Amino acid sequence: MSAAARMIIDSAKDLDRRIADFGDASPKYDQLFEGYARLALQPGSAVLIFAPNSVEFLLHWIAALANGYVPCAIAPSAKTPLASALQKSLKIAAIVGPQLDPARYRAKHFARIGTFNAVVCDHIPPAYEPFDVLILTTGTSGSQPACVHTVESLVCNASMTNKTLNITAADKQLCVLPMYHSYGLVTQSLGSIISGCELRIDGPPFNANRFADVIRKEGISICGITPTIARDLLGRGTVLPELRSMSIGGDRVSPEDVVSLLSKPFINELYITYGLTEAGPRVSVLPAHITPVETYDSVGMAFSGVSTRIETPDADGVGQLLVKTPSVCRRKVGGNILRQPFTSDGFLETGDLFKKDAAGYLRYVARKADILIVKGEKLNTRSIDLVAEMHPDVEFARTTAGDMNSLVTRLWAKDDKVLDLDEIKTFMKSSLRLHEVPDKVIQERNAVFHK
Amino acid sequence: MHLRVKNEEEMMRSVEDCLRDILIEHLFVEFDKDKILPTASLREDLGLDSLGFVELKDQVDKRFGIAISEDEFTPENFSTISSLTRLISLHCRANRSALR
Repeated sequence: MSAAARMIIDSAKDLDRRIADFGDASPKYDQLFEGYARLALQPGSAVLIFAPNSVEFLLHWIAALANGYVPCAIAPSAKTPLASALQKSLKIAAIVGPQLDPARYRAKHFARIGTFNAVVCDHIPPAYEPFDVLILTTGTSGSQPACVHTVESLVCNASMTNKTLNITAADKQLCVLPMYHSYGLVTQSLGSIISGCELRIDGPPFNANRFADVIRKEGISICGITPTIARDLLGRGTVLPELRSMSIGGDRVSPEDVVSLLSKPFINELYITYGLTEAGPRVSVLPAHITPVETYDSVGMAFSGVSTRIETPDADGVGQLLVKTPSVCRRKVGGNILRQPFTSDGFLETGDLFKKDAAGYLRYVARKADILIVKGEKLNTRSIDLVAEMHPDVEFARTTAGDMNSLVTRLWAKDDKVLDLDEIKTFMKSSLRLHEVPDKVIQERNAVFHK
Repeated sequence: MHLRVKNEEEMMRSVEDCLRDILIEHLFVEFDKDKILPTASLREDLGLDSLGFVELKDQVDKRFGIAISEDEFTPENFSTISSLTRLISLHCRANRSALR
């Protein structure tokens, strides 16, 4: 076991001293550890954990890890078809979550671990190593890939983030972002564990006034939010209690928003970050409070120890950003991965188009094809198409961004049928998460498809 | 007085029932209707995420003809079917009083 894994596992015993949520008291870690041991899975077996933001989730994640299993957090709103598809594509050996119904998974064994139910799937040979961690990336039913990280790589990334953002044991961090994503799980939760700082976990619904109240009552010094939340706070004119630092990541932040945020007297340090799950996740940071205004349109420079380069830049210097980082994932799995996203000299292909100036500031230009941000959530349009194409009457589907932050799916029918669009939308809704459901579904004439 | 209490109880049950329909029809919560208890946590037990709560609030506003304010859109009010039913009942009562 690596020192990093040992540190995370050892932290679990007194986690409730430093980490708290606003729900009922969590079960004891030892009880959860024993519950996972009783599942008697082979070391390296993957465990899918439906994860509402809570201390109990974090304790489950660590207890699975400590038993030599490979935890994989998933949104609590994920539907059975997605979990069943992941069970096959990621070789999941057990599924754990509150109110999980064993009948839906035709499970042979069922157990109670803490307040969660656990179902053991049919015997699946372990596909991973003990102390590996799976983190899902953007996708939907049947095609959601995952990154295989080690605890060591995640702790390495959390440590780089802590160092760059000066996060120490004296801080008190607030996590409002989903803990099944790499930012909430690695940057905030593991980051808090290794820095020794306190962590308060809150969950949806997000409410600007409550956010301010929690910061005030809990004496929060640092928090991380998305650009969507930042814009919401700015739009409402929310006044927060004084924060030592606020970091923003997950999507593009406009220079105008950076200026507006810096004008708020309650934000002392403002960090704009860029990352991707494959990189562990954080890659670069812009400490906007100390950098010149000309850099506000950038995501700053790569962390110390992380190298970047632009692959075959065009005349404007734009090309795919390549990253070499000690926190890179071991490989990607599931989701019809055809090739691993690495160059022959060990750089990670981000799929994001960037420019890099002489000083090393990275400027985002465009996102990889198929990935959109709609209503503040990242989604993979190709995966939505695949769900639509599972309908027996649909030959082909193409999802694109529409007007006003909306999503439009165009459908081509099999055998020139007239499609029942309401029924197809209902069919899609049963597999997709809410932000992935198209606002508009349109039937196209097959002549267009055959062109 | 007794009749008023009875009507009140009936109204609460009807609101709870309507919320179960919304959760199944619009949020695709994977539970049988009769298994969704009034005390079930919308977040922990039924798995609602941030967009799920926004959708639930929109549907409640539409279905009951009320406007839940930003200040009322809290984890406490949206904790369980029961807590949300109490909030809806308050709005409905306020609407009735305003009409008198």
